[in-house]
Order: sequence, then structure tokens, then C-alpha cells
Amino acid sequence: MTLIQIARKSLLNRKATTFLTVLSIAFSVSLLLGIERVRSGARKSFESTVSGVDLIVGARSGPVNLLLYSVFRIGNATNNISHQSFEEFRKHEKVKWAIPISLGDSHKGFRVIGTNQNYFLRYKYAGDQKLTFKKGKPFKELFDVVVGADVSEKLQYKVSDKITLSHGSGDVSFQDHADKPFTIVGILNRTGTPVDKSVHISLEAIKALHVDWQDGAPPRPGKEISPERTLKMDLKPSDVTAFFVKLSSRISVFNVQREINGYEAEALMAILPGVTLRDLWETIGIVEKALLIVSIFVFVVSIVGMVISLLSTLSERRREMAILRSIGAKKRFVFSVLIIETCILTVSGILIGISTLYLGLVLFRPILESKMGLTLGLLSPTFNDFVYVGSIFIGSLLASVIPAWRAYKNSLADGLIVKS
Amino acid sequence: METLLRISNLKFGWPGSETPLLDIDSFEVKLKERVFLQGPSGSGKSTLLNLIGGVLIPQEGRIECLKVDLAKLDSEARDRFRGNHMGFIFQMFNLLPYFSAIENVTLPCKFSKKKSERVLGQNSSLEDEANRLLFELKISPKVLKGKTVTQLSVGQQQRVATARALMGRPELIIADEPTSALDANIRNSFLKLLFEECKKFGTTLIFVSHDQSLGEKFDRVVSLKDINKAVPPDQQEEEFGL
Ligand SMILES: Nc1ncnc2c1ncn2[C@@H]1O[C@H](COP(=O)(O)OP(=O)(O)O)[C@@H](O)[C@H]1O
Ligand SMILES: [Mg+2]
Repeated sequence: MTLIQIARKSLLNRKATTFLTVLSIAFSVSLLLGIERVRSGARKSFESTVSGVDLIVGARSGPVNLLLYSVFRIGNATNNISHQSFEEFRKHEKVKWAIPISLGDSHKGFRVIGTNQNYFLRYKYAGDQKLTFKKGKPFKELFDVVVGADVSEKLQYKVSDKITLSHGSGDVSFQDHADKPFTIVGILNRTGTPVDKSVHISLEAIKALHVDWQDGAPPRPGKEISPERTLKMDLKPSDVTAFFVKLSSRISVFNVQREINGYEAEALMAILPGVTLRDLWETIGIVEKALLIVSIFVFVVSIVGMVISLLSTLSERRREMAILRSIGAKKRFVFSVLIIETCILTVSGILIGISTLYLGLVLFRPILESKMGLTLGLLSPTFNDFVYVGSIFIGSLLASVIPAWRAYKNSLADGLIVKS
Repeated sequence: METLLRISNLKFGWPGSETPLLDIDSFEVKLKERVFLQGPSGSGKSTLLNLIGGVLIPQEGRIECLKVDLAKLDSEARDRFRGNHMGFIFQMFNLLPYFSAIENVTLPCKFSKKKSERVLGQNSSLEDEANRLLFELKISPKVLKGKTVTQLSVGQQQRVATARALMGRPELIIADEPTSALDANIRNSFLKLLFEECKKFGTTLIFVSHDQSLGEKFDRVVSLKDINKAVPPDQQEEEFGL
């Protein structure tokens, strides 16, 4: 009791250094835990970009590449696959449902996704979340379009606005599909996934856009087919870029994967999204490691700062220790005072750091989540948080042995009388 | 009269020095005696007090205090013994700056059950006794009000330190140059108060100073060089012609 009181009052007697030390520990705690939050949040929202899908199927290339273009809408497919292959596997006895996607066009830098109604019905992200409409409904007519949250926000679109699509995925496209305007019929709620940045039309619409194109080149003048005529044509899609597969039973996932990979009519590739997502995260995980290393450095610096500040006070505290010894304090009391002081500094630092972090989370989470699409996860502490806080505590306790030992040695050398 | 302290055949040298600093055949202090131990700076007075306090142990010989051989106790027991039976006053900066005067005075009772029991046997609380001691040493609550102990004058600080040394009525008070930082007139009144309190409680006092003029007020004056056979460090230097 006396020990804690002495440590506490002695610290308060050195307000400025104590304050700075606690502040630097608090800062490193918030940084470490904050980075852990962002890291696990980023990983979680990354891994929950698509869920409820057992297999993703596309033309044979690299699994990461397939994942990137089908889920993240980054890069392009080397090849499309035939619509017939899609139909074949959609009707496969072990397949519950399949969602086709067809890429290749864009709208003001946003990717255009050709798909079908199943997309709005079945697509899931972040565990069990389904796509929901902020305004409007899924596309029904040929020239209907449904836009993601980012698209509508950035371009200030509302339902029944008319937009035109461009060929290719570049920001600046030289080849417009200006002859066939689309009408926005639906705006999706924010998901924090690439869906927000997507423009959705039907597979038939994709076909319609290119119905008068030949070999990837726009129609020669005079050969254009007007939207009115297009509506009356047979627009059965000829190919898709990839499709998402949900099986009736997960048990058969490897069987079906093998079957798709060995499909004879066409070179297909099926990937397990979870596995590939994890692989992809590992490759981009270097950023995560760099962040972690930076915050560990900040922590080490704050511990070193604490040790230095304690050491620097020791010479002026020799008399304090001699007084305590003279009234009967044991040798190890001097050692304990320093250890307890470190505990007080560290625990206050940890508590302040955690409070600041949570306050920040509560205040800024909505902004971070809506504006940056970064899910910071639950407010409740994670296992990693305990590991970090525990290591911080143990680390500083170990470091505190240095000043404690110094004080102990000083006190032994001084005895009761300190030379002035 | 009963003996409080008996030192016999003591030899002590600081580690690293070849010759002993102290070599004392016999030195005794009687119960309730007020002894003035005199000697020039660096002659080993403070070292001797460290030995009596049980913070240092002699390489040879015995230090008996209240019939207890300090060298036979382990280090924790010596610390406890010091806490229970002794009170110290030093030259300067006697007080813990982060405690109030009252807290400083009551602190010894937090480290010694014996002192605490002795105080609580006579008083309702430790603070009562601290206030009483401070009052007797002419430190009124008014003086202390709104001040940290470091804001008190040196003379006031020394009196608060004396109250702390007296707290819990230890048998022995050891004062190491307590008046050296005080002005001459304050020095005399300080000594008077210290003597009064020691007399009232029957406390033994070992008072160390290099200032010979104070000696006449004490029961006995002892010069360290008379009891110490070892050659003092500065004279060693002369012998070597340094
Ligand atoms: N803690 C210590 N460690 C090593 N030597 C010391 C220590 N304290 C005192 N000495 C040495 O012991 C000698 C006597 O010192 P001290 O007992 O303080 O003398 P005094 O109190 O009479 O002035 C000096 O030479 C001093 O250098
Ligand atoms: Mg001295």
C-alpha cells in the first residue's frame, strides 16, 4: 500500500516527464491497436468481398487473375468462355445456382458488369449480406441499368437518368456506345465491396451493345443497328467472362472443381474463392507487415523513452531512496518502487491509449466505413488486442528492470547518507 | 547505567580501499545518553553511522544495539531493526518532497509495526501524534498550510525531520550533521528543542558534527580519532607526500 502510494506520489511529483511518458505509451498503444483494427478490418472486408460462392469459373489463366477480374474488377480476362459452357454447368446436378458475369465495357471509369437477375438475388458479401436497393429495382428491360453506390454518388445519378456506356475499360474511351443509351432503374446500397463501383446490365444488353460490331471493331458507317431494331433481334448471349457457382452441397466442391478443370469442350478453370483470396492477401500482406513493424518501432521507442526518463531522474532521487532506507525500507523496496512506477506508467498509458482508440473508433467509424469502404469490425476487443496489450505490459515491465536495478545499486552504494 | 550501543573490535574498510577506514576497539553509548561524535570531514563519521544503522556490516568485530548483534541478523532483519528502534536526521533534504509534512512524519510508522503500535497505544491516530510532535517542535499548522515541504525554510524542514525521527519513540536517534545547514541562532534553538524531546522520551542521541563548538551542550564528547586506530584518509595522503 505504502509502496504504491510512494510510487504514485513520486510520479506525480515529476508531472511533466510522467505526463510525456504516459502520453508516448498511450500513443503507441493506440497506434498498435488501431493498426491491428485497420489491418484485421481490411482483411475482413477483403475476404468478405464475395461470400456464399463455392467456385468461380473462368477461362484458364492464373487463379489470382481470375479472382481479380471477376470479384475485384481489376485487370482483364485473357479469354471469354462460351455461354454454352456456362449453361452446361448451371444445369449440372450438383450446382444449386450460377451467376454469369460479362466484362469489357465501362462507364466513366466504372466497370460494366453484364449479368442476370440471379446476381441481385444470390450475390452475397460480408458473410450473409445480400445486395439491397437504395432506390429502384433490378433491371428488366434491355436498356435498363443498375448502378452501385459509388457510381451514383460520384456521378450524382438518380433513378431514370440516362447514361451511355463506352467500349473497353479505360478511363478515357474513344469508342462509345453512344447510339444505345441506358436508363437507370436501380441504385444499390453501399456494400464496401467492388459492387459499389459497378454498373450492372443484363447479358442481353452486353450482346446488344455489340450486335453491330465485328471482330471487336465498331460498326462501319451505315452498318449501325438502332436500339429499336436491336430490341426485336434475338440477343442470346454467346459468351460470358466468368461465373460464380453455388453447389447444393459443399462436400462436392473438389469433385466439381476437378470436373470443370478437366472439361473437354473448353479450357476452363475453377477456383475456390476463399483459398485464392487468402493467397492474394498474403501477397499484398507486405503492407500489413510494414504497418505492424512501424507500430512495433513506435512502441519500442516509447519504452526506451520511459526507461531513459526514469534513469535520468535516478540521480536526483538517491536522497529519496536513502530516506526510505533510513526509516526501515528494505533493499528490495527501492527496486520495487521503480517497478511499480513503471507499472503505473504503463497501465495508465494502456488505459488512455485504449480509451482514445475506442473514442476515435466510435467517432470516426461511420466515416471510415462509408467513405473508405473500410470495415473496422466490431468494437469488442479481439484476441490479438489482448496479445498486444499483454506484450506491451510485459515488455515495459522487463525494460523497467534496468532503472530498478540501477536505483537498487545506487542505494546500496549510498547507504543512508548521500553525498551532496 | 544500561548500555544501548556497544561496539567492539570493529574493523571496516570500503570495498576497493586497502587500509580500513575504521578500526575501533571499543565504543559504548549508555541508554538515554547524549553523545557528541566529532571529527573532521572525511574521517568516517557517516560511515560509522551507516554501520550502526545496519546498512553496512563490519568486516570484523561486533556492533550490539539493545543487546542485539547486528551482524548476526540478515539484511531484512537489520532493516526491520533500524525501522523499529532508530530515527535518523540528516544534514539536508531530509523530507520526501511529494509528501506533506504530516505524511513525512507519520511515514516511519508505515515501515515499522512497532513504532505504529507505540504511537497508537497513546494516541487515537498517527496524525494526532505527528501534529503533537510538530507543535512541540514549534511548527504550527498555520506554517504548514498551503505549503509543500520544499517550500519550508531549512530550519523548519530540519524540525519536521526531527519530528519524523522522534515518531514512534525509537530508542536511538542518530543525527548526522543536522545543524550544518542552519544559521548560528537557529542552530541553538534547534538543539534546545531536540534535547527537550529526547529528554522527555528518554531517547538516546548520537549527534555527529565537525563543529566542535556544539560539544559542550552534550553529556559526552567523543572525538573519532580518539577511538579510531585507523589512519584517516587525508593523513595517509600526507604520509605519502601527496
Ligand atoms: N558510499 C561510499 N562508498 C565508498 N567510499 C565511501 C562512501 N562513503 C564514504 N566513503 C569514503 O569513506 C571516507 C569517510 O567518509 P564519511 O564517512 O562520509 O566521512 P565523514 O562523514 O566523517 O565526513 C571518505 O574517504 C569517503 O571517500
Ligand atoms: Mg558525513
